[in-house]
Amino acid sequence: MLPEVISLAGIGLMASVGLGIAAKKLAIKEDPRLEKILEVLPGANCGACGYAGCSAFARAVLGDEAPINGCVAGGESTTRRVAELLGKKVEKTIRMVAVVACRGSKGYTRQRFVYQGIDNCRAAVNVGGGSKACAFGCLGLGSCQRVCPFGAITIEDDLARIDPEICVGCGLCVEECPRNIIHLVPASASIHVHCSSQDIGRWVRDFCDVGCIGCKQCEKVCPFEAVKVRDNVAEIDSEKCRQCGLCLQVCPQGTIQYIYPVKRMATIKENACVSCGRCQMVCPFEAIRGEKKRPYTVIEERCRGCGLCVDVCKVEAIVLREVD
Amino acid sequence: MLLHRFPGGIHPNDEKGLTAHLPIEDAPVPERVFLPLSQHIGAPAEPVVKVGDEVRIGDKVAEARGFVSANVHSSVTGVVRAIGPYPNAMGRLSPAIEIETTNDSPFQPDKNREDVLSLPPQTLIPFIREAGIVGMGGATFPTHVKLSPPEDKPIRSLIINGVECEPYLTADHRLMLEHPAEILEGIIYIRHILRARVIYLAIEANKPDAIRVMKEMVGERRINVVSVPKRYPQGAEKQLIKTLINKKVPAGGGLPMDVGAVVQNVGTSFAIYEAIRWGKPLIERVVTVTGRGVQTPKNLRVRLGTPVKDILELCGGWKTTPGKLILGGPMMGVSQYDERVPVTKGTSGILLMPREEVGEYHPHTCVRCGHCVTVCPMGLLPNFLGIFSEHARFEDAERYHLLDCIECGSCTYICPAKRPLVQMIRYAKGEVLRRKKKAAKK
Amino acid sequence: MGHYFYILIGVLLVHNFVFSQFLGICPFLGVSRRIETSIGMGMSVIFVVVLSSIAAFLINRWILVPYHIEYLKTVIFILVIAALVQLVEMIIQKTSPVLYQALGIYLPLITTNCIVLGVAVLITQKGFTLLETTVYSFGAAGGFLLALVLFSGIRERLELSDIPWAFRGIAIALVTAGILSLSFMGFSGLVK
Repeated sequence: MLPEVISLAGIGLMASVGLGIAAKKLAIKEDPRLEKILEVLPGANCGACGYAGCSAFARAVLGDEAPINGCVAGGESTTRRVAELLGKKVEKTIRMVAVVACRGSKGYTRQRFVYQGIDNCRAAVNVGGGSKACAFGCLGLGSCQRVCPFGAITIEDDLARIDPEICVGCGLCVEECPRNIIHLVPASASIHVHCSSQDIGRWVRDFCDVGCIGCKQCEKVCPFEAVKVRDNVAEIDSEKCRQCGLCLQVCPQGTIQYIYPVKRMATIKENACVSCGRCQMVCPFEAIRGEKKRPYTVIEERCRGCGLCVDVCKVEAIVLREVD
Repeated sequence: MLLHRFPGGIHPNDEKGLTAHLPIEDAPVPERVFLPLSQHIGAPAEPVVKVGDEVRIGDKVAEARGFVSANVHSSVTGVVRAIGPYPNAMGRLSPAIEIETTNDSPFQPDKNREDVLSLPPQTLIPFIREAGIVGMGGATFPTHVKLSPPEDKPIRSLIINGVECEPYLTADHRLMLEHPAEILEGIIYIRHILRARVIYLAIEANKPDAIRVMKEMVGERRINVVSVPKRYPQGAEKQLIKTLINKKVPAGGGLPMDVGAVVQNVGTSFAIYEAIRWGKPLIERVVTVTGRGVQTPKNLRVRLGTPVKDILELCGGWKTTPGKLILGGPMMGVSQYDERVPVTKGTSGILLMPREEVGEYHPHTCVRCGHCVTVCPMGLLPNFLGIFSEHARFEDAERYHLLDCIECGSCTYICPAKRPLVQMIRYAKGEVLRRKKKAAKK
Repeated sequence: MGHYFYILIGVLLVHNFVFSQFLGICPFLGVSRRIETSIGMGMSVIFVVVLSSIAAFLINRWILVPYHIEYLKTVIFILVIAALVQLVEMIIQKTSPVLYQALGIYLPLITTNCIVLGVAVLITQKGFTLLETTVYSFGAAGGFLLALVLFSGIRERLELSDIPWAFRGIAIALVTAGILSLSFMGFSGLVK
């Protein structure tokens, strides 16, 4: 019994002492928070934050070099958790999504020549400027799809389509697109002009059935001055746009579309309304009716959910709700 | 003399029989010419005329910008109608000067330049620069730059390139047969400028008549007229240097002057003669219109800026269902879809391929046969370069000497899996340079 | 001299621990994606195996045998091995953080690598001298390093290949390892 106990204990003790000394001599300081932050990050190493990977970003955040909301892919939830770990306050970040500014799929567009070569937009654009007749349109060979770390992009009928639910706004596709027609926009901006062609309307009609011809109908009809036609193509300012969808209705080519369905409706709370009439004055669609001393009501068929009335109501009697 | 074999190379059918026997015809003066501001390697030239100006044939219409650039001259007498974007041979739009011809009188040579060789060599280079001469073999590198190597790189060997290894093309061949004296004169001027010790005039063995004519013309002068074996790409600069003087131009950005050599095309020599002796700028060139798709193949002397459409009409148009319209040759030429594209300084040929001759290929995975490695004239590994390009491993591609590829097309030609290797390599080159630029910005 | 050479060749090639005895497969498959990490892992294992074998030899000669407690050898050897691996971890973390990151979980798993315990037990069974122990353990771990480096070279190439969907990932790696084992069979008969 004794030899076993002594030998085991003895060797154990020697090992512990040895390791203890070594631990002191070979100690390196590693911030314990590093591991915790790494767990909270998405771990996709997408590089959207500007660092070489999640661990590089984690180190940078600890070293106070990177902003806490630097992880674009992780979004708000990640930012909140990182801030919690560091005991810091978090500023509000706006979630961005990527949108392809082109709708020219196979059925709508013409080709100049038959392209034979590798399935890569960056390479194809160097062959005769790309086989699509429109010199600005999406080539549909999938370079963006391959670079997306989250699988948010699909190619259908020679056109790249981004799912705004999956997209986290990392921006890798924006850099990859050789035509530079993918843009990052706030996730709340649901309506877009799906065309980047700066060609004049006559040429656009030749090349594509759904391209912007610069007719300016959208610009004329927008009650918020959010749509402007510049260089023969319409652009929507996402800060002014209220997703009312009027421009979509008047566009003769169908270039303006929602990227995800959204329909909002204003409702006036009966007991809160003081019948001041401000909402009725400001509504560009004449969708509010009412008279003095009676609560005002919203004419649902006309209301487009732009929310101007909500802004002007001084008693916060109007709410916007989403409807199907 | 002892010749050295460069590695690799292929033996496509040279197809020269279609046009080699046809003497050079002068194409009629076009109604309109479109002169791109960039017909050369280097910075595009800047216009020195404006819309409405009257210009005479040979007038400078655009000035070279910086050292590595070239002047552009009007190839007709007429009026400038527009300066703006116009289709170019790469399939895109680039700025060009449109001139409407009003008078088809020929160029009036300057008859006061008899004693050229008595002038010091340095005074001859401005003539070349002024005339806007660039490499006419297709590379279009500004000649005055090539002929001005730095002091620490003396030139021992001057090689005149009459190889014309690209299939179908016979422009240089006819030029040597019909204008040997002028070419010889140009060679002598170049030798005078470079003070080179040894001169070679290399002609591919499939042109025995040209070899005979040039040998006779050279006579007793110390110029070695050499018959080089028929192999593509024997006419490529680095390969020709290896064959004639057994020197390897250093990889990773090396130039022929690093091994004491300068290579000039015979067409360029001809143009140099015209520029120095008669003050004639580069306003026309010989173009081979060939292929089994064209009604009447020809070797034409064409004014620069002539739309390809005009030339096709002159040759009777398409004889068959159009397959491919290529500017240049089938190996390194560029396929076109717009007939408005003009003939420029580097257009050595217009090839019309019938639909039946154009293959439609579906590339497979690399089968690791190694044929591409065997034929690569630069001794590279095109199979790996292609695989790295596919997997976006661009640093690895760069380590495998991606940037030393001369894009001759031998690997694509030989690949049994029909992989578009040159396109993959070009794409990888683009990405490598793009990433370098991004890193430099940071 | 020849005697030690035969021991070395015997355990390095003929009875290679990975390809003939199928020990140490976990780190073999886990670390062999890159040649650099394979070399790092192989070196660490050589360090651990040689030191632990020598320690095992000494403990066996002076403690286990004299006091007739050979039955404790497994426990005591594991103790020694675990301590050595901890030491190696600390050294690597200090000297090469990149390698430390790359090896990840496989570094502490050297403790459970059958080769390490296997060699320690084997040298007591075979009754080697101290010098023979050193040579044998060096050859055993060297065989592991050889197997790792060969396999990672192949795996780097496999990454560039178009592998059928059903075989991608670990499947093709195992098939390749099997073929490599087959090829190592060619060494049998070299040394008795």
